[in-house]
Amino acid sequence: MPSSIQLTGLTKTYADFVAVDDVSLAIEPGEFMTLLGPSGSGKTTTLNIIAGFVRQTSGELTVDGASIGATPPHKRDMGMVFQHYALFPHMTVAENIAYPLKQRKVPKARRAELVAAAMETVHLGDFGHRYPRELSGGQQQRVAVARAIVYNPRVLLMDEPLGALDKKLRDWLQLEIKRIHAELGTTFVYVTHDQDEALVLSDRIAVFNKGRIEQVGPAAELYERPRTLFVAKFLGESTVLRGPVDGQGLGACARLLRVPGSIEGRDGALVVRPERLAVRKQGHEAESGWNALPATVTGEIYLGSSRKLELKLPDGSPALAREQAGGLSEARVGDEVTLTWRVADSVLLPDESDAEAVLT
Amino acid sequence: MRARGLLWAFCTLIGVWLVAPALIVVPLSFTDKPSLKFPPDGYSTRWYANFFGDPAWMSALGTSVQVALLVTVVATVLGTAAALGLTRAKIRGLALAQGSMLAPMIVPGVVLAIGTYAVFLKLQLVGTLAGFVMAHTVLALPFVIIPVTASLRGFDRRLEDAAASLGASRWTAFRSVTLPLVAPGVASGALFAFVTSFDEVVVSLFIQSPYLQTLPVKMYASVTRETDPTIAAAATMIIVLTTTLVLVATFFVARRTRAK
Amino acid sequence: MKERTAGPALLILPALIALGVFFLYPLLSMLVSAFTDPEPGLGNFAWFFGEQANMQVLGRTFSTAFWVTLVALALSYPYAYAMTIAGPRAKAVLTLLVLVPFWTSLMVRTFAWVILLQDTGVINKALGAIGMGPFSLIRTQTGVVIGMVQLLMPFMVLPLYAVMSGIDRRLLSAATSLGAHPVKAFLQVYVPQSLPGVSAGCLTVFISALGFYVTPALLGSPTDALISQQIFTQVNGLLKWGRGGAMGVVLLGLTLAMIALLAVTLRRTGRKVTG
Repeated sequence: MPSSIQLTGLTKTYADFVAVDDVSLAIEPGEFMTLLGPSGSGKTTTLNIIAGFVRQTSGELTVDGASIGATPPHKRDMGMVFQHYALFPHMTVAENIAYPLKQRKVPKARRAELVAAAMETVHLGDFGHRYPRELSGGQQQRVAVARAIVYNPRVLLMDEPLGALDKKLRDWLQLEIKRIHAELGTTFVYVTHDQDEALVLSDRIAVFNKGRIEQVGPAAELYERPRTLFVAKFLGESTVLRGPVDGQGLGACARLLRVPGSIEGRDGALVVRPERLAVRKQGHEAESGWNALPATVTGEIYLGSSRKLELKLPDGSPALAREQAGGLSEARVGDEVTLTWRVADSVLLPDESDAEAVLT
Repeated sequence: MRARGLLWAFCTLIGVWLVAPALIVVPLSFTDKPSLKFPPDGYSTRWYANFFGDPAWMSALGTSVQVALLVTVVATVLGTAAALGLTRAKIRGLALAQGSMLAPMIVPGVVLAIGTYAVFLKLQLVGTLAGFVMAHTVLALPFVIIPVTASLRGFDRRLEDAAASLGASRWTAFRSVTLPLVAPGVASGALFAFVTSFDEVVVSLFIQSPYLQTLPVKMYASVTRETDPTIAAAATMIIVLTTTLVLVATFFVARRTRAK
Repeated sequence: MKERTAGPALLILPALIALGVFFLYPLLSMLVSAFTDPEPGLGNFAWFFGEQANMQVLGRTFSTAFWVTLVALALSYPYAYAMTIAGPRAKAVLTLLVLVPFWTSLMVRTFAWVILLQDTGVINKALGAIGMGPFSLIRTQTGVVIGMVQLLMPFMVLPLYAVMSGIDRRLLSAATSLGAHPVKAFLQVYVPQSLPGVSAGCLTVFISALGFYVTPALLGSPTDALISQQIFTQVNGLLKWGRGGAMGVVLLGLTLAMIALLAVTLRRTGRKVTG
């Protein structure tokens, strides 16, 4: 039976630094929850609080309704996959995987069965008698996963488990982790700074920034309906138009752009995803319910199934459009064009100028 | 957290225990009574006057410094050359040669001492400066070879080729490129050589003569016979000398490393 | 490759010659005298292994070396561990404290122990102040062990530290997350990985202790002599070159045997750790 985890007002302060700032999060049983954020955003500290390696300064942590804030890590019954795997170098693969079973005094015969089953689950062939050093990075990663799932823990925690691997292997192991999650049905809490990884894997994503959670939700919701500029910029690419907002729209590039919804008397940022931007001939008139802006094509990246166009807006700020193969415009580098998008496809957010600083 | 506290308390005790012996000698050398009572009741410098006024102590100190300096030169030259050969030669039996170079470190001092004594009696080297220098050089060699070999292994041979391509002869390239870069290793080897010789007791006890003694030998004889605080003054001199040397060397090496 | 073969090999020669004349030749002449002085044969060895007193000396030498190694390990293990978890400043202090005895002359330190261990010395006074003692320390095996442990401790701490600083302490977190009590995690995960350092340190200390002369001579009792003292007496006092040589051969043989033993165990554990 998978477990639910509830974080309530979790805070961790070090001498002169707030690592985790009033974080509340409810993780459903069997859910794949990803904590996503740049380094230093508090996501790893939060994971370490759940695992019990770091003691929170204040706030509460419950698993299935029972508070575990004071339980030492070895009694929490959680599995953890560490960033650099933390395999015991003096034990064979089988001994590594059997280690948690030994701690739980599982009889020897049963141990062998469970180890074999766990190795089967992670598709780790006949490596039981090898030492970790003799395995490739991807294989070590599987051993680490097998060791963390073999005792059927109520929660599986993963701290950037793919961070040390090359891109190709990472893409493939992402799918493996997704498969293992589906197979086990255990609650997964996964930490990463890689947005693509988060999008592929998660049921829900909690985006961390400066020790706080900016937004929690399914990948599609975060991508289509970001609630802060930080989330919009951290997940996926976008074109951002900044300017003062009034009842009629947002002023940018010497125009008044129409916006969905409104915000109260502040500077706003209008976010448009690249696939929502259409590149038209210069002078194209906006249909009703659409916005239009002149732009210059400054770069072109051909990606096979699509192409990305880099553009410059009249105020000098950059824009990005993506066109699917089959629907390519005739625009080339140097061309003057008109960019159009449907007002309903853009998102209006309060402008936080500091979102930029974190990302660059 | 309590375990941490205990660990630090333990380490503090061990730390005191490690340095205490070296530290009690110093105040003891300033006692005003002719006894080795610690802590002393009053203070004076009479034992230093005694030390510097006694021809036996002075000649022992002189011999020790002389022997140690000669050993430093001989062992550093032989050891550096050997380290170069060991890292660059491609001959059979290299491992054996390397192993035998380090053998003096593991042979018990007394065993080497009686053998050396027998040989020195035959060669009439007992109680001679040359005898001390050679006996100590052999003991000091491993301490030169180890650090120099280590720095040579970390040295990029292509730099020598680069120097050669820029017109330097083999020897010039070595002197102007290799040597400065492995200098910290050579310097620490030289320091080890000096201290090894300056501290050596067992072999020296055998090959000494009443006319030529090193400072540790004289101390050894005094500890077994007398209870005269002059020994403490001598010991303090040794501490001051080696400490100064180590500090100067550390400073020198640190500055060189930073300069790079 | 240019002619990088013959020339460099010649550079080894001077050192090899020095070693031949002043190291190998002495050892050989000791070996020869063991078998020939005063007459050819195994007489000196028969004498050594035949006399009860010599066997006692050998036993005492071993037990002293054993205790020195054990005590040094017990004190050095936590110390070296502390060095690996200390902050940079504390680590510098701890390292310095280990190196100070390294640089302080053996003779000076032994002399200091002669004073410290006196019946009316600092240690007994301190013990008296807390209502214990006085213990006789000087001229006893205990005194010898105390002095030798302090003299040899750097040789235990440094290899331990070298190995321990290479151990990933995150493995301890991993073990506790897998359900191991912290103490168990330390014993099952940390200690096995530190074993190469333990064996290297123990070997160095043990073989040094086997052949120690100055410290047992000055801190121990003449009636409880160790083998190195007996060798000294035989050659320097009694001029029995053959007997001294035979004892030297035994001591050297034991030393080499210990090293061989360690080489074998290290290779085995090394295979396990490094794969």
